Amino acid sequence: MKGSLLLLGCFALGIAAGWLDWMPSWLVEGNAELFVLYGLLLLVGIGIGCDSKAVKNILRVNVKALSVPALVVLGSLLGAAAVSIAVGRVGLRDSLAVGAGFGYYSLSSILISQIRGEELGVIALLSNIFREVLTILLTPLLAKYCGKLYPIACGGATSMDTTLPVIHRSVGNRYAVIAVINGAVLSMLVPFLVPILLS
Amino acid sequence: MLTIALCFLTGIICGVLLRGRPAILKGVSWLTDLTVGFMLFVLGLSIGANETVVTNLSSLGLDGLALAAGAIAGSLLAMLPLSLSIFREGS
Repeated sequence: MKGSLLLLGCFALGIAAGWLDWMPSWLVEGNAELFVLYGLLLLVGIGIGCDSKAVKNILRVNVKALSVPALVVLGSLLGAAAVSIAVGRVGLRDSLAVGAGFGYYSLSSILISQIRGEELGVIALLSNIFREVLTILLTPLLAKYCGKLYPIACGGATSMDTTLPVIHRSVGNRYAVIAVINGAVLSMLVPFLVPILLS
Repeated sequence: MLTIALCFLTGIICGVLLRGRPAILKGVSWLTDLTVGFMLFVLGLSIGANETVVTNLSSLGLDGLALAAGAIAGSLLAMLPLSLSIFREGS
């Protein structure tokens, strides 16, 4: 939670600096950002590859555990598509890409703003932050009234890191393992799914 | 799109090769946080300078909230077949 606030602080600071017209021109012109993005993906990949537990977890899991993230992908995309059609404000493809962030707001918003522009980037950032915050708020209720799978599905990619503590408290050890697998699989899908949906 | 996937895959391979060195993992996660912070700052910069985005920030937020609600509702509904079959609690 503290980390999320710090990142949100960076974002807010950026908005203020941009609004006050304090824009270092080398950041605006040129494509330094794009290379930083590539570097970021490299780092995220190294982090996953280095973590032998994360890789083993994914390799070891069976069809049963993989059915959770598979259905979360399906549900998130269909849900975002339904909102797009019902509200009619954000286009279908754009909505699908936002939904495909699965709560992984830092990476998805950066990818989307690079590929599709700032406006959708902001929607993706806020939408995926909302997903994380709503998960933290809803987890105890979902676990109690719906079942232990539901907080995990709600958390999406965040179920392996930021929302894991609160999910773990509500669902216990056995389901916490499923939460980690779910989060790991969904996080790995984001850098593939978002560009595919926007291409 | 291909470059994005390639960077990510290269990272995973590098990570596997660099295993068993906790100092590197720690450094990488610190550098990742720093990079994400920097990228979000830059995203903020371009948003702050973009008048249309700033004036529409609240409506963009509402769009975001609606999409989050949709994605969550869809994910929860998708769990229904699982919780009735292979994840039946108490079985």
